[in-house]
Amino acid sequence: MNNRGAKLRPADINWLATALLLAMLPLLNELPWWMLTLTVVMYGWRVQINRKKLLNPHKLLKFAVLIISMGLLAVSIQNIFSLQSFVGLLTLTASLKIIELEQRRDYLLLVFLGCFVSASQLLFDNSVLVFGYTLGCFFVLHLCLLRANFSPLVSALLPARELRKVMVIFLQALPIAMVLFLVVPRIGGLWQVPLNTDVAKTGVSDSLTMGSIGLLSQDYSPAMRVTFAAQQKPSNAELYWRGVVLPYFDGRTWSRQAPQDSAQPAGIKLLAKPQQLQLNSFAKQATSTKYSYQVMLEVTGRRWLYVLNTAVIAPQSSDWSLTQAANYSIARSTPIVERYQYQVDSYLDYTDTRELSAAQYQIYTQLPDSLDASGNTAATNIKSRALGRQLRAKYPESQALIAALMARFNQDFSYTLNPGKLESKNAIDDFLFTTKQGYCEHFASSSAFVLRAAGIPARIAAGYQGGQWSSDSSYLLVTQADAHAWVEVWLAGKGWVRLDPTTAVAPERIELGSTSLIAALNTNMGFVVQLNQLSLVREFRLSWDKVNYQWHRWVIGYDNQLQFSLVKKLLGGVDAWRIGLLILLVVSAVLLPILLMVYWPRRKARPAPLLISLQKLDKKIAGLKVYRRKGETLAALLDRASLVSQVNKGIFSMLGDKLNSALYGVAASQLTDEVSRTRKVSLEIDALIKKIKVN
Amino acid sequence: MHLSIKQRLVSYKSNFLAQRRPRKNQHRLKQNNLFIFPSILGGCYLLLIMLLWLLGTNYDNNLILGLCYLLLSIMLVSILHCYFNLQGLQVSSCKSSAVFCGELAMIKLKFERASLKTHSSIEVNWHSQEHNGTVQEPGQVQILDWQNRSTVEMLFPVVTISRGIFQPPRLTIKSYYPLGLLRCWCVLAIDSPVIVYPKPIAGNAHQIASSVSNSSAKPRDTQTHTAEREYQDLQTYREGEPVNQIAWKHYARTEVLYKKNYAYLTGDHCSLNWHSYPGIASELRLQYLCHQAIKLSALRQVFSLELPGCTIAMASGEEHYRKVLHALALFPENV
Repeated sequence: MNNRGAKLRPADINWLATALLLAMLPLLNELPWWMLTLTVVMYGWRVQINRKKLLNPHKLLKFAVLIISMGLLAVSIQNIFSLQSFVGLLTLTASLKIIELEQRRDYLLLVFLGCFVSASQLLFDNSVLVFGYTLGCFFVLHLCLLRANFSPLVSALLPARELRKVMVIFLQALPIAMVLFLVVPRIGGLWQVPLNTDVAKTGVSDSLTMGSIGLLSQDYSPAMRVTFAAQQKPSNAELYWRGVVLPYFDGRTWSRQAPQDSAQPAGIKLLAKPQQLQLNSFAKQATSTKYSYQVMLEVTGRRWLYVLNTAVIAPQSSDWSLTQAANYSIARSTPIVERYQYQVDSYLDYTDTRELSAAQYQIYTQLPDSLDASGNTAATNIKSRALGRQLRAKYPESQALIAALMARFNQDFSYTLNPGKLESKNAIDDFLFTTKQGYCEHFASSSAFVLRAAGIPARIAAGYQGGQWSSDSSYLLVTQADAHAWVEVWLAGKGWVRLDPTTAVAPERIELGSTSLIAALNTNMGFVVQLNQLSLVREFRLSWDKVNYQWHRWVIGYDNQLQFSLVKKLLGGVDAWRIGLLILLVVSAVLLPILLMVYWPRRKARPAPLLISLQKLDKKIAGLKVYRRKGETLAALLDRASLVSQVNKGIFSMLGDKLNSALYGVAASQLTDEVSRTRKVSLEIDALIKKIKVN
Repeated sequence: MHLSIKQRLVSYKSNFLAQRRPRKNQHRLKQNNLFIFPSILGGCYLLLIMLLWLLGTNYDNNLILGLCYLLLSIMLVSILHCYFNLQGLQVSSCKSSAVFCGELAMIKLKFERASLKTHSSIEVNWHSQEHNGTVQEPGQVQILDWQNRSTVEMLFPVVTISRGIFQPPRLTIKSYYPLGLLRCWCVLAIDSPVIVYPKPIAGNAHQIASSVSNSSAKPRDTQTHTAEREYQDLQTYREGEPVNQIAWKHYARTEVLYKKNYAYLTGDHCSLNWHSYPGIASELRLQYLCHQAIKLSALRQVFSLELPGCTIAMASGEEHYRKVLHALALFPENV
């Protein structure tokens, strides 16, 4: 193997460099930019060496470059023991090796390194497009592998034929690979590996500051996708995806944790397992519908999960890292750094009639005091507090009070995505008495404030509301634009009850969903929003999302459980012999066409017409017991036959003449070519042969 | 019997092959003579697959696992591609010309491709073979280059070791096509006999003299006379006779072509006799005789050959010369 064309052709180096650059390109998201530059420089250097313009770098120089680039990498990537540094090191090796690309061995090593680098980009992004791109990289790398097998001595295949060959190999390998993917069991992690923890936190945050955002951005990237069991389809108004509960208010911001105990991050009381089970009993009323659904949550970088109202972690879920807090929110022990799927059950009508403890009552009715310039505690949002007290005095009944507040919102408040900024210190007063326009945040925040002022325990719940059903209603897509905040109030005898003040202002926001509402609201929101509203674009977005969802559900999320059920469904069982049979079937499905192509009996070339005539003659005279001897000429044979059968003597002599003229005669005229002449003569000969009389 | 392990292995292998794969002058490559096994590169490829599998498994990344299965399937599929690349190729021997022992015999082989097949990147060389305890190194690898033809004829040089009928070593035909992950090969015994004449060695003057005197009736030292090139009489030249015997001087005078008749040529024809080298090893005698035959033939002289059990009558010319050399080459070894 080493004796085959050790020297590389320039074209080979170009192909390989292209493949390597292609493999590295998507990694630039994760890796410092200078790595690509380094690769290009190394490649350029190599080309110059091959053209004898530059010399091979000295050993010391190479060593220096290695050390410097390693140092740069260590500086560029903060965490040395992270996934990024592992991939970075791999990429660095590949790009530095290009300079040493001299022999076939180096070339092959680089092809393999390229495969590894290209595969590692899937650790960071596993969308359909990136996978397709990786397949493309693998294709080019295998093309390099194919080219490495051609000796420079021999006229190489045309590039088109090389491409075709690799294409054929890939197309034949794909079905086998798919079956292997379906049936080969997954083992699961063998050892602890550094995960890609360095993800940006996106989506709903764990704090809510009223009026901090002047304009709500319309982000249509998916937040989560939900598949309901058994064709359940809750109405849009029921779809409150509750994520995080914000009980603490400091005058400006609602937050998950009390500001003072930020040192204790898990300041949320957790429910023990038996209490979780108890939650079920509250909901088990005759009217309750249980919704079972599977959620695929996009990367959030945070720990909490989104569920409909108050959910119970499905008993079949084996994930023990999930915990449920006393406020019913569910969280995972580690942040969600890659797409995460979970299965939960929810009861939509739900009453937890337990009394609030004094401490809880205090937390949920607490209103902030802030320090004024002179150092005295001064209350902010005085008007709002006064409003709360007024309402309390007017309506001793909590429900009547809430209804009055909602009616107030309904009368002279409006829903807008562009509410403008609010005065930072007395934002709630500013909103309630001056601007009177805003979106969910404003309504939820101010409602909770007024209710607390009126002495009703209230808190903010943040998450998503609604979602879009896929074209075949198989799943619900929730986008970032569906982000929502609402209020939960505690009513004696009813427990915590959801109160969405936005419905009072813009009921269509809840009934139709954010996208339609925004479409109705805005005609001047800018191009992007308008583009998103165009039905065609929306259709496309939905169908593309469907592809993505199915991809994530069936390919990325394909695990042992799914594998088991799918194989069972396909084969009627998961015995080893069934799987073996399936593999055998697919392999033979690939092999059979190839074998047929190779072994298909090819039609033999038709023998010349004269030879056919000769066979006829042989057959005929066999009836006369005359057989052609080995090495006997035709004339001799005919003479012999004439001796045996005197009757046919004339015919035999005529046959002899005809055969002679057929074999050695010339074309009668210029018009008749050789082929048609022989055909004509052989027809005459056939006629003569027929005349031979056999007893 | 102090053979190294390698030699023993090679010897065992060639015995095994000799039994299983008899010599034929035409071979078609098919499943019963083709072998296939992953190459070193293929081993590295499997290692890459394993590393990718570890990466995919540890990170629970289905896509990397999928890629890993794709590579595995590519390896599987390329087994077929590698096999079918060689399958159907036909090798046949052509008649090769005779050589003197120690010279390179050029074995001419004809490769014919199966219809519609390209048979890319096929490497051909001699298989290393054990011969009388020494391992012959495989020859230079040659690569088939079809250049859009359906048959290719190639010459494969091989060193001849002993006189007689020489059969070339086994031929290795191998290919790593398409991806180099697998090596498909076959080892064929090609029936392509080459006649190897004894290696010509000049004997010393005495022996040659004695050989000539022994053969002729009247003892005469021709060696001294040949230099003088005395001729006794002239005969008219007939077409076909050696041109260098024409007496050009007489032609100039008479315009008639005369032939010079050398005395020793007319008197006693040269006879090469096996018995004229008493006490000399049989192989060496053949080598001396071979040298003599070459020399006499170059002088276009008439000579005969006498070997135990084989006599070739007086004659001259290319055909006679070949006949003599054949007789020397095929002389039985242990006489």
